[in-house]
Amino acid sequence: MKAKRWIVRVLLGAIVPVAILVVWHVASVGSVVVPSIGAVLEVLAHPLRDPPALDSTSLASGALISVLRVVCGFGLAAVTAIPIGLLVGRSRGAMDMLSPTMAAAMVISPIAWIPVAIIAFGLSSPATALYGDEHWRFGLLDQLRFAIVAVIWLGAFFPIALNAAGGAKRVREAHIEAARVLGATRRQVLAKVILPSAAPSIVTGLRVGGGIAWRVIIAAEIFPGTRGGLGYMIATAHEQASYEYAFASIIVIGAIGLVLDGMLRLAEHRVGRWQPKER
Amino acid sequence: MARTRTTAAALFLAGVAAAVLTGCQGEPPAKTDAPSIKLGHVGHDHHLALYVAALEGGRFKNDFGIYLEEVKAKEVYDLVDGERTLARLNFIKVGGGSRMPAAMSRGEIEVGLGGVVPVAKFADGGQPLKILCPLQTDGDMLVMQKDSPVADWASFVKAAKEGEKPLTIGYKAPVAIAKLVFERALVAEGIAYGYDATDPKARVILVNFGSEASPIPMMETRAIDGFVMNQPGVAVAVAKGLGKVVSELRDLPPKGKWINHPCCCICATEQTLQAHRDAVKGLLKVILLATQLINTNQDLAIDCATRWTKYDLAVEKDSVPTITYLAEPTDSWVTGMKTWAEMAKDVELFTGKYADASPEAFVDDLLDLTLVREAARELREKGLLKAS
Repeated sequence: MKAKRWIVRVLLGAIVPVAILVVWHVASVGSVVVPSIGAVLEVLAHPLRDPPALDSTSLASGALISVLRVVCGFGLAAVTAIPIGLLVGRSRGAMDMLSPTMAAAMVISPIAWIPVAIIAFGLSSPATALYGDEHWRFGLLDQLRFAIVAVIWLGAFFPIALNAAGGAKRVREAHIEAARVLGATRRQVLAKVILPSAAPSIVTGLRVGGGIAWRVIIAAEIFPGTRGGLGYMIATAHEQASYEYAFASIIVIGAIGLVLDGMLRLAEHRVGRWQPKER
Repeated sequence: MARTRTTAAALFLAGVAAAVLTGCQGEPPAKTDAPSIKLGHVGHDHHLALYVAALEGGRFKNDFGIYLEEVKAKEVYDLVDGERTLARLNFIKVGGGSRMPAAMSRGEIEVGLGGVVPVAKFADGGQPLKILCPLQTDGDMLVMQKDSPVADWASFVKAAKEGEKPLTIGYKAPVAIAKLVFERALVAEGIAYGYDATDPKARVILVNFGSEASPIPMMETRAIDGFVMNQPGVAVAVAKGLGKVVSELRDLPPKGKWINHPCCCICATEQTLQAHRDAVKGLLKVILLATQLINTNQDLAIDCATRWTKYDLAVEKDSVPTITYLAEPTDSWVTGMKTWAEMAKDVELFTGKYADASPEAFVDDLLDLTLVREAARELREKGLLKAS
């Protein structure tokens, strides 16, 4: 019975991808813009090969660069947004001070900040910060341009902070009071009561923020001087009419996004499993 | 137990990240006392002179003694004259249209290769920069759908004026050279144009397909009837079987006005010119010699274009011969710059210091051709540069 349900679930889940493949195949016939499925699979089958007809690094290298940028921007967003969100959720003064700004900034597309990030950070990177201008073009560290990381950070920060604030606000006062009566310090109340209670909301915020970070990277990788990353590959493939690379990059972005979302979903499940289901 | 596992996993991941980040740094290049100059370029074959110099460093070293020595392919080159390193050049791909002068205004690049009109527009706004020499002229075309009845400019004019529907023509950027020439040609022919598809008077609707983006998707879906663009975008559309060249924009009316129209140039900030005059002159020498090589050895030029831009050989074979590569300013090029000044005035492109400037005052202020003329003279004295 369980196996049958599993098969049904897999079949249902496969309907849309199969339909997409059929539409893709039909659209690719006689098209310059839509590459054949075979051409895209050929690119995906050789991820380490530098594209022979595209001014870009290999697919694997591009994916690594994009992942590193997202990890840095997203990690920075998590580290900064969770404490600020908890503060906003638990402090009336902080809420009055920060929530209007956060609510307004939340609706601005991170892409809109790209020119501001370029002006603020230029072409600087950890490589320039560590080794100075002489080394500014070298190594993977240089690919982590501060401007790109800043835009990703901006994209992920607000959903994480707002969800953390919401989670912290919803912590039952009775639980906090009980902990205090039992002699818990402020730090213990934060670690043992507020954080666990707010954790499901925080992880939901991380999921939303992670998704936005992935969407932002595509636009952010057209920064001046960028020569790698999946977003760069898509832009260059479009410019040079080598669309099989654009499609392959899109598939890789989707696959990595799926893995990222799966990991965060698992975390969401784990931190939320002790909580009673709302009815 | 669970906490120990989590800590161990976190430490492992941190170790892997540290290993990746430090291990992939690679060998840093040998240090140089020469100044470091950030050089912006677009990456297409209008800037072929730079790519020929970068790819053919060995040939330049043997034949001319002044050359670019590769430090890191496509990114870092030392500019060497004899035994002396004049500068370390950091190549930065910045994108076309306004992106190059915009990057210069933000201080990201000090020397740039790009279109003369965007450069002039930024200078008009107060950016302290000078155009040092041309890179090429022409290479802009009107392309129509492959099955379009329009076959030449005359039939385009007829179709625009008498056709049932207005013609929809794409362009890549508001101040793109191709778009500006095309607009003036429409005015010269008395063809009303606009940007709004519902404009009842417009016989030509102009559609922006985005800087550096390709017109290919819009051509395939027939969202546009044709487009005006520089090479190699034109050659790509032709190679993909989606379009045909109807006219080179140099041949459009007013008759003779657009022949050898200035397109891309080399510019630099005034600060760079003051601080690194020798290095910039050395770069201009290399560009002069590379341009000479392009014009005398087209096979090599096409090969270099393919190797650098990674466009198909067929595309570059089609593209490179349609571009006039020119590094030493000629009288007709300077006249072309004056034509731009007049045109810019007509369309009120300039709102700053060139708004009321005469064409002569415009070129006097924007161009600094002393270095390139000095460089050309010195090369001629050594017998390296042939008479222009």
